[in-house]
Amino acid sequence: MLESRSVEKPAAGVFRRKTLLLDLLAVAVPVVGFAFGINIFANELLLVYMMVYVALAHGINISYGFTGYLPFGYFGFFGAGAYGATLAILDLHVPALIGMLFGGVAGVLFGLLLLPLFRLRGAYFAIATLAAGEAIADIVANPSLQSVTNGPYGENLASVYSSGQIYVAALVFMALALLAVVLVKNSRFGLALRAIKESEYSAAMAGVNVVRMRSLAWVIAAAIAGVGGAIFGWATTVFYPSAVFDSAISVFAIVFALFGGTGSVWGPTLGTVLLYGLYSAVGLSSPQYFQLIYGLAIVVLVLFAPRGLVGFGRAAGRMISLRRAGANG
Amino acid sequence: MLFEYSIIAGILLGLFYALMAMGLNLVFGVQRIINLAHGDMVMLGGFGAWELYYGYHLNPVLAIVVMVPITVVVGYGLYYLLIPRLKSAVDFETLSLVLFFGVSQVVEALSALGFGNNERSLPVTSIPSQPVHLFGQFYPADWWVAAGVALPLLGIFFLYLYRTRLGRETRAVMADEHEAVSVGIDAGRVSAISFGVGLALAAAAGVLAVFVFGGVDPSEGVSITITAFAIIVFGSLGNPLGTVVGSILFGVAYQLAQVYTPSWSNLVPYILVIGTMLLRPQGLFGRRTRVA
Amino acid sequence: MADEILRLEGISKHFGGLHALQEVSFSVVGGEALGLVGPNGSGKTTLINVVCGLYTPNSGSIYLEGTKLGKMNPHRLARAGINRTFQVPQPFGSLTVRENIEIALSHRSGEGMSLDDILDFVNLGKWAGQEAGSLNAAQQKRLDLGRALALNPKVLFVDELGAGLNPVELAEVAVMLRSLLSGGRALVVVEHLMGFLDKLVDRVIVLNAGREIFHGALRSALDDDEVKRVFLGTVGA
Repeated sequence: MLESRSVEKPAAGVFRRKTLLLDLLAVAVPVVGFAFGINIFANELLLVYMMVYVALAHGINISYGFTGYLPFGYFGFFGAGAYGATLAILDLHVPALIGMLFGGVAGVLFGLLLLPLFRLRGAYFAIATLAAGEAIADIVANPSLQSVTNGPYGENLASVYSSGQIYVAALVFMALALLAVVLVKNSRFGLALRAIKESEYSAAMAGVNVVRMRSLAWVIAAAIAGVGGAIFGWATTVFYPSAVFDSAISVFAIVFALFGGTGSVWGPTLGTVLLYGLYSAVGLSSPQYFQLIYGLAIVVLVLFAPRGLVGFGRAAGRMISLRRAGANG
Repeated sequence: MLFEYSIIAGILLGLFYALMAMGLNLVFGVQRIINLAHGDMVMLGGFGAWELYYGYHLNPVLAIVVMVPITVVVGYGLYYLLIPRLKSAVDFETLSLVLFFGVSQVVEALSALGFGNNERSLPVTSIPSQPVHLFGQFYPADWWVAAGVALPLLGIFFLYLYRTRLGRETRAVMADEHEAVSVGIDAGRVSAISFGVGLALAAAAGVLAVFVFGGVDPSEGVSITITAFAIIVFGSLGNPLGTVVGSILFGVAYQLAQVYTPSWSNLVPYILVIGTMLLRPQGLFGRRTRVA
Repeated sequence: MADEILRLEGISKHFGGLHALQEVSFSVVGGEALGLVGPNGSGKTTLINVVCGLYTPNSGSIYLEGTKLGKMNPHRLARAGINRTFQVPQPFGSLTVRENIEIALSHRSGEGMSLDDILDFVNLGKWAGQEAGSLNAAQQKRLDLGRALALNPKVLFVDELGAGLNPVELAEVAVMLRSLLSGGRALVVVEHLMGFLDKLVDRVIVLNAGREIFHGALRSALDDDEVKRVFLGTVGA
C-alpha cells in the first residue's frame, strides 16, 4: 500500500518534509510537555485524564477528520475498554499494563461488531453508533449480568493502583495515538481516506479499497477509545458504569477535536489542553456550566468556524502571505 | 392474559409514542435534519407542565393548549437563527446533526441549572386517576389519558397536513424542495413553521411523558430522541402515517419485552433502530429516503 | 479482427418499477472507440454505473477480455482495467491535482504513464499543486480523465467530456481521446454532440428508455427513422 514511487517533483518533496517535521513536533511537544509537566503541576490524575482526552480527541480526528464519519457513540468504545481491561485484570489476573491492551482489544471488538453500520450515510451512522453506545451501556449495567460485570454497582481496581505506572501508561498511550495520526496524515492511507471522504465512488474508481481503508481507520479509532477507557478506569480506580459509559465523554472528545480543528495533528491536542484545562481550572463542582459552555461552543463552532482553531491559523497565514505577495509585487 | 395486556397497553402507549416521534419526523421530512434536541423539547414540555401546574394551578392537559402556540413561535425563530447559515455548508447533514447535538447539550445544561437534577413528577390527581379495568386486567389511568390526548392531537396534525393550504405546501416541500420552490412555495417559511410545529408536538408529548414515564428530569432527552428516532426510521423516514403504525408496533414490542424480560426491555429501541437501518433501511413503508 | 476487450450480454437493470436498462448487449474491441448515444434518461449513465460496479445488474453478464466478471467492487474493477469519467466531475476537492492522480497511480500494478506524463496529457501541469476544488469545470473533467488514465484502463468510459466546450476545445479533446486508442485500449464515448462523435467513433449504439434501438455506423444512425424520431423529440424540446 505504501510503496514509494519517486513521482513527486523536488519542490513538493521539500514541502512535504516540512509538514512532516511540523507534525512530528506536534507529537514531541505534548509528550515532552506532559513528561515534565508533572514536576510543575502536581495534579497527576488531572494530567492523566487530559492525556486520555488528547488521545480521544485524536480518535475522533481519525474517524471524523479523515473519513467524515462521526461516532456520537464513541463513549461506548471507551466504556467497553474500561470494562475489558478491568475484567482481564480482575478475572484473568493479567498485570494492569497488559490489561490496558485488553481494553484496546475490547474497543476493537466492539468496533468490528459495528462495522456493518458503515453501510449507512454519515448522519445515520452517527445516530446508529449513539444507539449502539447506549445499548452496550445498558447491557453492561444490567443487573442480570451482575456476576460478570457487577451490573450497576461498578468495578474496583484499587488492588492494582500504581500512580507511576498509570502516568507512564497514559503518556505512552498518548504518544502512540499522536504517532498514529501523523502516520495516517502523511501516508497514502491518509490520502486514500481523504479521497473517500470527498467522494467514495471516485475513490473506488481510483482503485482505493474503500471498505478496507475505512474499516482500518475505524479500528484505529476504536482501539484508541478502548485503551483510553482502560487507562481512565485504572486511574479512577472505582467507577460505575455511568462514569465510563457517559455520553459526555463523546461530547468532550468531539468538542475538543472540533475546537482545535480536525484533519491536523496540532488541532485536537491544542483544543483538549485549552478546553480541558479551562474545565479543570474553573472547577468540577458544577459540570452543568461546562455542558452549557461546550454546548454553546459546538453551536458557535458549527455556525462560524467549522474548521476550528487550526482553520483560523491557516486562514490567517494565507492572509499574511497574500499581503506579502501583494507588497512584493 | 399477559399477552392481551401487552397488546392493549402497547397500543395505548403507541399512540403516545406517535405524538412523541411525529415532530421529529416532520422536521426530518421537511429539512432533512435530524433534530437531536427533539428529546430535550419533550423534556422541556414536561417541566413546562410542572411549572404551570404548581405556579398557576393549570391542569396539565390545558397546559398543552398554552404551550403549543408558544413553542411554534419559538421554533419558528430558532429556525431562522440556526439553519439558513448552515444551508450552504458542504456537509450540511452531518454539520446540522452536530449543531443540534450542541443545542441539546445547552438545553440539558440550562434545564439542570434551572430545574435541578432531580426528577419531578405531577400528582396523579391532576388528571383522572381511576385505573381502568378491561378483560380482567387493570391499566393505569394515565395511559388512557395519554392515549386519549395523543389521538385527537394527532388527528388535528393530520388535518393540518392534509386539509390545509400550509399543510399541502409542507408536503410539497417534503416531496421535493426544489420543485416546491419552482411552483412558488416559500420553502424557508414552510420549513420554519414546520420546525415550530415539530417542537410543539414534542412539547405536547412532554406533558404526557411526565405521567407515562412517572416524572421528568433534565437528562432524559437523549434516550427520548433515540426512541423517537428508532420509531421514525422503523415507520419510514418522512412518512407521517408510518410513524403512527411504527409507534404502535414499537409500543407493543416494548410492552411484551417489559412483561417477559423486564430487565432487558430498555434495549428495544436500540435494537429497533440499528436493526431497521441494517436490515430494512427504508423502513416499514419504504419511501425512497436514502440512508445508505 | 482486433481482440475483444469488453462484452455485455443482455444487461438489465430495474429500479423498482423503472426499467433503466433492458437486455443491452454489445462488445468493443481494442483500438476502437464506440459511441453511446441517447436522450437524457435513456440509460447511458446507468449502463456505465453497472459496468463500473456501482450497480449490480438484475440480469446479464459482463466479460473483460473474455473472462466473465462476477459481482465485483468498483475498486477491483478499476484495478482490473475498467474505468470512467463522470458527467459531473467528482475530483477530490480538498486534495491537490497531483494528489488526485497519485492516489490512482498508487493502485496501478503494471506499467503506464508517469505522473508527469498524465499531467501533461490532460494539460494540468501548471495546476499540479493547486486544490482540485479550485479548478474550473473543464479542468475538473480533464482531472477526472487523468485519474482514470493513471490506472491504465483497458476500457474507458468517457461521460460527456465535450459538454460546455467551444469548437476549438472540442477538436482538441477529440484528438486527445483518439490518441488514447493506441496500445489496444477501447473507448466508450457518451456524447450528445454528433459533430464531436463523428470525429471520434466508428460505430454507435443508440439507447432509448433503456433499450438499444440502433447499432451501427454513425452516419446510418442519423438516417434511421426511429433514431430520428427519438432525437427530434428531444432536440426539438
